[in-house]
Amino acid sequence: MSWEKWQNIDRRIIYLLVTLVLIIPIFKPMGLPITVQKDLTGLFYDRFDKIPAGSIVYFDAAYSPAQDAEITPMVKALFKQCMKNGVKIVVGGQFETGVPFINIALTQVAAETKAKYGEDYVEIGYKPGGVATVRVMINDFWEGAKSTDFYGDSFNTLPLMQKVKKFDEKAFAAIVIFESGSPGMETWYTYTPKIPLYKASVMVEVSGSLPYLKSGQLKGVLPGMRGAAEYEKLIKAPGAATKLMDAQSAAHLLVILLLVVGNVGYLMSTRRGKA
Amino acid sequence: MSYLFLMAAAAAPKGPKAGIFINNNNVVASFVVFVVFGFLSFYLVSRARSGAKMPTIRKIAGLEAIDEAIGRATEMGRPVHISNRTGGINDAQTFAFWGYLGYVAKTCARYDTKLINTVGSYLVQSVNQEIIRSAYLEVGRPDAYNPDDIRYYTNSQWAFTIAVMGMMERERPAANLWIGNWLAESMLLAEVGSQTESIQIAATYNILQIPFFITTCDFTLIGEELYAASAYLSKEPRLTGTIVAEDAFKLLLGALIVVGTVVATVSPKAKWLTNLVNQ
Amino acid sequence: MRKQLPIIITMVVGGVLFLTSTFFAAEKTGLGTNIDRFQQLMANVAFLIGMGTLFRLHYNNIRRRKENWVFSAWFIFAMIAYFILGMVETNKGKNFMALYNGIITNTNSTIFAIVAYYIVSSAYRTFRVRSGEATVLLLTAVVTMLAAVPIGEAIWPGFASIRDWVQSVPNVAATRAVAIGTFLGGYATLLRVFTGMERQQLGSR
Repeated sequence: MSWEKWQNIDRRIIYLLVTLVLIIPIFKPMGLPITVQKDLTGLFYDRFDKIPAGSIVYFDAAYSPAQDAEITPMVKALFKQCMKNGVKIVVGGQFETGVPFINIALTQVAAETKAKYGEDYVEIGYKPGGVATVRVMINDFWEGAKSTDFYGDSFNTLPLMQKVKKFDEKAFAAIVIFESGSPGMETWYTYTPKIPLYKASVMVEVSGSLPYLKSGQLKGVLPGMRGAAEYEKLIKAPGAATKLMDAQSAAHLLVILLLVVGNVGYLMSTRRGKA
Repeated sequence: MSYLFLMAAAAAPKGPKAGIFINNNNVVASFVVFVVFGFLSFYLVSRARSGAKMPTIRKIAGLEAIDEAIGRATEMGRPVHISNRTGGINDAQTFAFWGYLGYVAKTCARYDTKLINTVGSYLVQSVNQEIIRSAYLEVGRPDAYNPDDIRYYTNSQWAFTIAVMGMMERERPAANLWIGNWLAESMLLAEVGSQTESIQIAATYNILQIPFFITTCDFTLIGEELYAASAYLSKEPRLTGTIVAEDAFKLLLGALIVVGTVVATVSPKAKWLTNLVNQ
Repeated sequence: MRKQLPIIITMVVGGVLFLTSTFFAAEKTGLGTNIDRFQQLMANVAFLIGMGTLFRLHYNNIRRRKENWVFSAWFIFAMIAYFILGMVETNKGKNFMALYNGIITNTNSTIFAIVAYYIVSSAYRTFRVRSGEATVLLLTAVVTMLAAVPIGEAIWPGFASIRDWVQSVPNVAATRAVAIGTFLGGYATLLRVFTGMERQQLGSR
């Protein structure tokens, strides 16, 4: 077999291999142990868990439904932790596509945890206007959010919203951004720098977030599906992310294997070329 | 970048800082940046205007390659495609994109090569139409201008992506220029571009997407190179003045970083420098 | 005048926002908040403009029987039907949400999933140990990939510490450098717009 062939495996074969390595472990899990990364997930959990009961945190759905597999397990895990600790949640979103989507996840997890809408959590829905809207909310949350929630009901009917008048550190103990792109965390570290900011994001965003974690502008970073799986372990509620970790392991191994094959082909063919 | 101007719009319940500033973090620092950078730009642009010798901008391979890419498209009789998805009408990246668009439109009009522009904001689309129309007028080819080639697909990330991927498969542009802030779609778009055997030039400041562009594009412009294009391509000395101001300011920041490192090493507990910068 | 007026508007609005977000006295005038309110209002108006523009574009496609005009007809039908359904049912409606969740979610996820295939295929084609730097890049990528998943730690726990160092030292340094350059580039661009030096957006130079 010529070494060139090692470098030029047909795309379709690669696609087929990717499909197989992703699907097989879902049906035949290996159950590899998941260790918690202390500087990321561990730090996030420790700090977030200390938020006192009765405080309110803000969830920002800054992702699109495409990132469901990575983000939804984090949404559910954090919601469960908040309910367990007696922390209330106000849910908004910078992505118009993220807001109806987080609603599905929250409706499911609220039923599981018996959380009461209006008292334990409120979804304010998508508010157009970008950072201009956020700035109005900082002065007057109700005005910026047009005093209506996701379902079109007035804030007057929701007990939790009576405690939220301004978007400031007195009203909110933390902001958690579920982020997959832009607009994202820059909105919060720019305009609400006094509210502790936590970021639960897709894996690809993580390396760009670390400078902000080091500078203290982020209080915690939850890294992608791996982070979600670790968090599920920490709150002792294994879920979707834990199940999918094996598939991710297998996919990473496949990439490494293909890199080895391609490079062996490359090295052997260049060596032969020189000979 | 407008964040800097608006950094402290939050309510200020306390009294003014230093008698005049809003009582928020970073307000004074932002003001100092504004004044120093503004002064440097004003001084260097004035020097450029008066005809003083200005430093030349180093050769940026990706920008040099634009002409080559358009030339290749002309030879092959295939279109040139330039795209920006995330830029809104008030983003710095959009203004940078317009620098590329004006240049590419003029070159395409001169060579009589079809130019396709895909865009993710309908407000930006109308400005793009105006820029391209003016470019065609300027080189005396108003008849060749086709508004249907300036296409707003949607602002939805994946719908836009699939629309552009389909367009690339059908119309097979010989050159793709990906300019601005790209997100996860970068991989899909540039990979299809590579499958359709086009020359690809990407310019982005999103550090997370740079690896994807590097593996699939022929040239990738990183960070500030994206913004240097309008000055570089137009060769206008006034614009070059602001680029020189950027570099001068970068030296100042470099000096501040060195001072910060020394202070943090000598007395790790000292907070005065951090507090000063956070003013 | 056609070119001067937009430049004057840019300068005035930019100037007001700068002053109101920096100086205490200017902030007290409430001008900045009013501009924000106006912007919020315009964001809502923009939706209507968007719907109007799209309607006009696709209506023209149908009227002139342009290529694939059937899709334009389908688009107008879908836009109007979904708009009416939303007005009637609101977010409480089962049909309104089911259409969203059933179509948008699945199509989005499907397209995003293609990224996985393309990443594997392009990494395989382009990652070659052509030089010393490329070899370092390849080895770093392999270690990072192994450390990111449980199987890596099962093979050798040391991968995690190498990954931590790569992520928190060279990666943070590079990210900060690019961020500073990007900030200055964007800042200079806005300054050029602000002072009317950059006027590409107004047609030609």
